[in-house]
Amino acid sequence: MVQRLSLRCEPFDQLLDCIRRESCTPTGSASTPCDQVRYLASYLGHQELGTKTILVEHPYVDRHWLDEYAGYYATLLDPPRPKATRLHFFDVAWSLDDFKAHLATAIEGNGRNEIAAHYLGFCVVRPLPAAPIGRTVLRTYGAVAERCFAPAALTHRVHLAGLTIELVGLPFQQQDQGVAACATTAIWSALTKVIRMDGGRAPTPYAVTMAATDHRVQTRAFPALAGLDLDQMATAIHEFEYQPHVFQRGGESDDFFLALKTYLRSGIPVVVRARVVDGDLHALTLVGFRERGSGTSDVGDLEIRNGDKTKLRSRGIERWYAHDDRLGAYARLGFVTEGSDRHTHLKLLPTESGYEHLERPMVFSEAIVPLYPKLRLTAEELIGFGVDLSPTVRFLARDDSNVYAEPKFMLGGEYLRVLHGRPMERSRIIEVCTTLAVSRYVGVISWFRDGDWLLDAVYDTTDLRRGDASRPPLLALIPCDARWISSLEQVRALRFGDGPLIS
Amino acid sequence: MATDPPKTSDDTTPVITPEQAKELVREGEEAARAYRERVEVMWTISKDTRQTRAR
Repeated sequence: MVQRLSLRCEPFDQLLDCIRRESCTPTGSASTPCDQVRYLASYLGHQELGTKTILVEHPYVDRHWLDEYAGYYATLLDPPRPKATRLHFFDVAWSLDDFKAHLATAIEGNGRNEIAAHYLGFCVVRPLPAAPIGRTVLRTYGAVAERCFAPAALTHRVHLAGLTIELVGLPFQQQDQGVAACATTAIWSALTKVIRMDGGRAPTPYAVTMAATDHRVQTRAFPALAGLDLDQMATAIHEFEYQPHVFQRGGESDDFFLALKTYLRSGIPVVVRARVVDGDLHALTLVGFRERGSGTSDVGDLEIRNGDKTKLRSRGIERWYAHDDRLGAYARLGFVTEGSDRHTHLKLLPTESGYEHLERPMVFSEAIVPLYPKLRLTAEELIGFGVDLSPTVRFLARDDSNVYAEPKFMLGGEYLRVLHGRPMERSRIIEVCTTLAVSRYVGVISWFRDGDWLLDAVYDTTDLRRGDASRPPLLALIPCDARWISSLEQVRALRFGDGPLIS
Repeated sequence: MATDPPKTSDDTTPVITPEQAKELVREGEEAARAYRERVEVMWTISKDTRQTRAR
């Protein structure tokens, strides 16, 4: 028999009961909601989103859940139901009649689309009482300027009652251990961003587990209790035709953290493996950060040092944001600021109590980044070019302690658009835009003194550097102050050859 | 849209002489070399580490 669609509105304070019902938790079960469900309520209820209404949509056919169902759950003696429920969240208090009235207005098309304007995201509830949170896409918090959520800048087209709503966010889901371990869901979130940005279709968690365990199997692929090792995570990324770049934290923590920041600022999620103190190795996906503000802070700058001298300085990080499948989407992480653990140990910082068991410090140990195949330059190499150029910039800026470098990768065309808005003479902007040949992705190191832009150094990313003797693949040096040009030409002649544009 | 460069209270800007350029380039190369050596360590991941599972 054909099942009819059911839509109903619930007040937001009914979220826990709603998930309990839709995940088919047995009536009368005394179990408390899992951490991920409580975190979802906490995230959505925070004043920055202020969720007021849940629209419950059932049945909902979710490709990601259906793939898990077909590959694993369908063969259980007592399988869950194959269809899921989708919860939509709004920041206004609506009844179903209110929703229908706004739908009517949106259909007429001559007014504001209130449904899209108040939309905060959705959560697919799987019929798994122990792991109900399926694919979930939520808006990020946006009230603080220092926050960077570039890896979560992915537009989803949500289809609801015939409307198409554009929602920006990065998918999260809770691991269920039947089909996906933490490493699988972390890779799935990261791959979703890079594949979708290149015009491809997002993989499912089941497909990621299959890809990871296709060639190297030491234990059962399903149930996915054993987790994934680093080689398997890299294999999964390879299988989806991306390049896994792996690096570990060495002796200088800031070398590692500045590389993470560079990828995140570039919009590329980073999967990090973290050793929980007295606990397991855990994987999570970094999806953003919050820079230290201009006021006082316990958090220092990120510094690339040579001996006791700082050679390159980047604005410090107060918070990292992660999709951590033990907790939820955009979970806050901060450095442990006391004692010798500074800039080495981090811990989760939930905004509410009740998660103390997850707040044990952890140490980031390795990072794995899914890279577009032609992006051959790494963040570490780009930072090295910054170190190379730093004495020149600091000399010209006449400042040793307030000059900051912010490296990132971006599309060549996007960089030229950024240049349009730089505070420099329009004739120079036009000269650069009409003479500079750029690779699909360029590495850009933007230099600032306090908040003022000083210079952009633009690098080719399509080749690797061979040994110490080779020149950095510089494409252009573009200073804010045109009077720097003749001095930069002196340095170019010695270090970069005649090729790079200085304008 | 582009605007005029910000005005600063100090109108002079340092000029790099050829001798100073050599020194700045040397200093940068030396610091970058030391950093690259540390990067080599970041990229050298042991077999044990690679085969440890995250769960």
